[in-house]
Amino acid sequence: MRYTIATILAAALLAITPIGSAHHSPVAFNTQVTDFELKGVIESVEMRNPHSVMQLRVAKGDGTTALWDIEFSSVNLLLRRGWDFDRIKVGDRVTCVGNPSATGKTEMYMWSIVLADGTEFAR
Amino acid sequence: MSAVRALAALVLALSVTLACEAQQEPAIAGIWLPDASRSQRFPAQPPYTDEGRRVVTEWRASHDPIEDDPGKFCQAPGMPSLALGGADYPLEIVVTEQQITILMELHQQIRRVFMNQEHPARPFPQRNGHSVGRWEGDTLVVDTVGIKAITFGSVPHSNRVHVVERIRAIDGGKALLNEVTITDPVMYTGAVTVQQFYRAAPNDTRMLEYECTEGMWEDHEAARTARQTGAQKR
Repeated sequence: MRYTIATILAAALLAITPIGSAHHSPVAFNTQVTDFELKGVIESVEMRNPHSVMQLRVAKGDGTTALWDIEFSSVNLLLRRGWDFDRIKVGDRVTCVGNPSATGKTEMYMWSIVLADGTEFAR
Repeated sequence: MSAVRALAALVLALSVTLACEAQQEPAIAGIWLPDASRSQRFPAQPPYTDEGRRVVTEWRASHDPIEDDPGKFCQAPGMPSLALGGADYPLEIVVTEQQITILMELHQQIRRVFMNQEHPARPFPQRNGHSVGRWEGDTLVVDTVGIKAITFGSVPHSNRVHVVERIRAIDGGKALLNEVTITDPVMYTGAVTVQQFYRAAPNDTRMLEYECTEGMWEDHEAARTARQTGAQKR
């Protein structure tokens, strides 16, 4: 047995792309476009400051998928705006609406999220 | 019976005293939310000195607005920027006789205003500077010096920047006005005054903590995992 359990666990961790310290300046997004829409399945989500982050698995036209980085408002502001974090979970199918990347990356800034049952949390 | 009457009188006197003290609490105390709809912004083109323009131009030319954004590294700009709003985050003003404490939720910044004191002769420059205050009627006048020079943020400034704030409750206590006057002989040719308005937060508003570095720690953990995995493979 060449690989220890620790090695296997570390390799498994590496296989998960870290969300990272997403906090982009507004110039990273095309704020002229506010209705950019993305549908997919949540792979990870972190409500935190200065910005919350989510990874969304999105189906592409060729049958493959892409992993998108979604940035959105801070946990403090979302709490005051009434977001129910228990209803935004890994595995959920959601629609994200907001600004696309200004540089063509698979990133967006989300201003509202629509859950599978139609519930919407905004800003 | 007289003992009971005496006790009742004592309780009444104490109640009146407490009520008076409650009424005397300055109207600026409490939790306030920035009101962007009424507030002014620091001008996008302030009256730079030649040196001010040079410093700002040089900084902008050498920093990518996305990759080198100080916000990405949880850099709090400190004063004078934090006297100018604070996005949608509340602030709480706690008033005592000796010190007024301004707790900013954004970046968990704390300002201490030492009442009826002088500045030290040579204050050590800090992000939020050294603040002293005095009451002029219902207006709190805060004088701040000793602010560390910062080139980024909404108000690029040298360590000679001087900020005077005049803070008072308005609209029957439903709003707060802070008239902020900024002078900096190194960066600006004249004083810039900006009015900042706040609205009283709803009674159930609670200040929250603001930990900003979790994402950076996550980046480190990913790098550590990669490093250790690489070491094991070797």
